Parts: sequence; structure tokens; C-alpha cells
Amino acid sequence: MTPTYPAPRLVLFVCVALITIAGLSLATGRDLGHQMTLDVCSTSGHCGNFPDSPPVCAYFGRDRVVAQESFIFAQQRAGAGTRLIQFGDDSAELIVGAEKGQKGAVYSFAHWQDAQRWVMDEYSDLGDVISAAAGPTGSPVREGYREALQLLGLDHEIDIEASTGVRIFDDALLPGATGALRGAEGEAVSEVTVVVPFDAASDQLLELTHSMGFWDVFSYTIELDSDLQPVSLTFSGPAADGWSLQSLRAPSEAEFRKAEDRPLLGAAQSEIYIRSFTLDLQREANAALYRDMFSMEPIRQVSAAAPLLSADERLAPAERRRLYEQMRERIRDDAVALEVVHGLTTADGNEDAIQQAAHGLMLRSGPVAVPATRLVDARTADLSVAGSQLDPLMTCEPDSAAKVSGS
Amino acid sequence: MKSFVLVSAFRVGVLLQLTVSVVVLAVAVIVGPALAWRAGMDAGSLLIATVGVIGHAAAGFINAASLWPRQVSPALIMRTVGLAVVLGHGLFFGALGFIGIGTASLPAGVGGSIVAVILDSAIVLVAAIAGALIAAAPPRRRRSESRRYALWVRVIGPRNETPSL
Repeated sequence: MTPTYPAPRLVLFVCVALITIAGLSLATGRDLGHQMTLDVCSTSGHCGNFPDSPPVCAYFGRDRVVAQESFIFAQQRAGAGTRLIQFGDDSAELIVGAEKGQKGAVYSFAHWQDAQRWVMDEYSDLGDVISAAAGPTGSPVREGYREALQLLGLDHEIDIEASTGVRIFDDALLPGATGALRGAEGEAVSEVTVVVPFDAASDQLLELTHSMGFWDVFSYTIELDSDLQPVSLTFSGPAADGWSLQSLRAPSEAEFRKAEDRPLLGAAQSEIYIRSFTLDLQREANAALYRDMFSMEPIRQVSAAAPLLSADERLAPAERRRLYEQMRERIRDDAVALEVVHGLTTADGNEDAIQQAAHGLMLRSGPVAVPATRLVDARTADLSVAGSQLDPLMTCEPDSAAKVSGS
Repeated sequence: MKSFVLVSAFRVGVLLQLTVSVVVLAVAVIVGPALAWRAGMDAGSLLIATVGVIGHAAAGFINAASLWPRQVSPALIMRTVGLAVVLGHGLFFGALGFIGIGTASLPAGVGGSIVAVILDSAIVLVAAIAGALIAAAPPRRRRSESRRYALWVRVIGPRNETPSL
């Protein structure tokens, strides 16, 4: 006979109690772990990929509403091949794998905290420390744990699916122009953005961009509805110094030419100034002009068709000049103007970093490898209101923010 | 016929090793990311892994401690403790690891991940065996004077108890 082993009841009791407590912690403890990580990074004053809350303000007026939906509060690399963007309305997007030749995906979140948590679970290396519980060699325990939670119905985060796809292309009608369109393969395109270097633009187009105070490069973004009808048109670009709304309202030939020689605004302070002008294409006057300037074009690289600025390529200079002048007038009389100032949060403030960051702010669906930036200031103006000026957007009282959050 | 393991000790051993596995994973899930943020990924992972390995060694120690004085053969103790850690660690982490292999796109690839699961099991096996061997050494002070032994008796039971045959 073999000897028996009288296990003390205390050992058994302690083991069962510990397993029960630990098991409950495993089922529900991820929120606690997430919160602890945020507390640690907040205490240290640097949360890296996990951004602070954006200002949630009371958005009254057409300009504020447009700004709320469009301006980027912060952008950062959230993990390998990912870019996390926070918007001014508290929402966030995660762009994954959006590089030329790849099919990227966009994950949308109504609240940036949800994105933050999802990033931590999906793309942060921090979670890999969980696998060390099994031993030092890195068994895929973290993945197994999350899968087990899902099998038990205890994890809904993993079910989040990409809201749409992203495809990157270049040389879109204009040589050197790069762009991105939203819409997975087989789905309707919902948005297209093209970044056009000044070198690729005609003199007439340059006059238009100078009137909006852009520097060296500009972008246009067209938002489409589910029937491929245009909803809005936005021109954006890094801000040239010495521009004001008056330059748009009372231009002169001399002033346009002079803009080419103006320095990039904010470069000396390592800040990125981005100006943008958004036209509502559901207004007939804007839509009619849009139809003359833009047309649906095939983009072979991404096997899709999207509206592109065809006037610069297809029309005679005189006709272009007439259309662009009309566009300047529409922008002057009906656009929502937004000027945002971003600071670099991680990269050195050299010119390359500033230009890359500006590129990322213009092409929000674009390449993921852009320097991290955070909003410093934002001003908006509804140009349909006579005499309107760019007013600060970042003047939100804590009480008003709370009211908006609670409503 | 001789038993391959000491069944009653084996049951307790599995429970001890399983407890260590579950508790260490819970600690890693809750504290791990914050620890990694504070101390760095490598340091955080190393700390968690060390706690886990020491925990399994301690479980092996406790499992074997009351077997040595009972004249149980060393081979039987090693087999009992070894199989207990293989089950207590392997049933839990092995299962999670293989679920992970089946679901995720792993940087190490499927082959590398399988090797990692096996290596982790081997490491904790060695740790538990080491713990069992350490338990073979008797306390240096007279038992009646030792606070550690008093605690030992409360938790494990007296060492000089005659094994029942």
C-alpha cells in the first residue's frame, strides 16, 4: 500500500478561496487593469499612446458643428501599423494598416475612452506581459485568455469590427498627388481625400490655394453619402504666414503672388497650423460648381472610382480660372473656416516632422506613420455670416462640458 | 503493485499548482499592464514570470515537504510533484496557450508558440522539482524552537508523523 497524504484543511480551503477570487478577477478584472494602467500613466504625467480627454465643448452655430465633427484633436501611433485619431466631438478612429498597396481598416468609436481601451487590448504591447504569467518564453496566453473570455460571453470588445476600409493611392490625375479613399472593397466609397503638392497644381489652382492661405501643399476631401452623392467639400492645407480672412474677402493679384514667398506659419515654434474650408454640397450653388470642377474617375490602383479634381487636368486655363474664381467666391461667402494649431508631442520639431504631421492632419485616412500631434488651439468662422472672424473654439467652460456630456 | 504517484499528495499538488497558475494570471491581468508601463515591458514580463516560477516552486515545496520525513521514495515524490505541476500548470496555461495559438496571428508563428508552451511547462516543472528537493532539507533549528516549524505544523502538519500504510 502507498502512504496517504493527509492534506490540512487549511491548505485546501486557502487554495479553493484563492482560485475562486482569482477566477472572478480574471472574468471581470480587465477593467480594473485598464484603469490601473491609466492611473499609473496619469500619475507619471505621460500617457503616451493613451491620450487625454479632448475638450468637449458646447457646439452652437454651423461653424462649431462642422468643426466638432472634423477637427482632429490628437493623432498618435497607437501600436504597430496603427494610427489613433481623436476628434473634437469626443469620438475617435483607429486606422489600421493604411499604407500604399495595403487594404487598411477604420475602427470607429463614439467615445475616445472606448478606443483607448480597445487599443490597449488589441495593439498595445503592454498586454503581452499577461503571457509572462505562464513562463518567460512568451506562450500565447494573452490571446488564449481573451478568446476564452469571448467563448464564455464575458468579452464584447473583441467583437468590434472595422467600420470601413481604407485604400491609399497616388498620382490621382495630378502627378505627385497622393490620396486615400474610405470604403472597403465592394462597398461604396464614402470619402476621398487627395493631397496635392503645389508643384503639381496649375497656376490657376495655385491662385485659389493662395487665397485660402495654404503653404506648399493642400488637400481636398469629398464626403459622399450612400448614394455616392457629395455631401461636403473641404480644402485643407498648412497655413502660410501673413494670411487673414481679409485676404480671401478682398484679394488682389499681387497678394496671391506674394503668398508663395510667405513662410510656413508656426514652424519656428514647432507647431503645425492647418487651415480648412468646408462647403456644404447640399446647397445647390455649391453643388453646381462642384459638378463642374470634379468628376467621378477610375482609380486603378485601388480598383475603385471616386470624385477627383478633374478641372485642373481637363479644362483650358481660362475656363479653370473662371471656375476657381467662382470657387473662391463660394468659399468666401458660404464656407466654414477652421484653423487648428497642433504641437508635436513626440518627434523633434524639424521641418520634415512638421510636414509629415501636416500631411497626416490633412489625410486622416492616410499612412499611419505620422508624428504624434496634439491640438493647441482652434478657431472657427462661419463665412456665410457677414464680417465673421475666426473665433476661438477652445474656450469651453467645465460646466458647459459637463452639460453636454450629460445631455 | 506500486503506484506511479502518491495519489492523495498528487491531488493536493494539482490543486496547489492550479492555484498558483490562476492567481499569477489574475495578478498579471490586473497589475501587469500598469507594471509594464512603470517598469518597462521586459522588466514587467520578467517580474511576472519570476513570480510565477517561484510560485510553482513554492507549491512543489509545500507539496513535497511532508512526504520526505515519511520515508517516501524520492522517485515517487518527484513523480508526484512533477505530474502535479504538469497538470496544474499545463491544464490551465497549456489550454489557454493552445486556444491562443488557434485564434491569433502570432509573431512567433504557430510552431514557435507551441515550442514556447512546451518550454514554459518544462521551466515550471524544473522549478517545482527544485522546490521539492529543497523541501528535503530539514529545518536547522530544533523544531520545538522554530517559529517557522510552528507555522509549518499549522499549515502542513507535523513532520514526524508516521505515514499510514
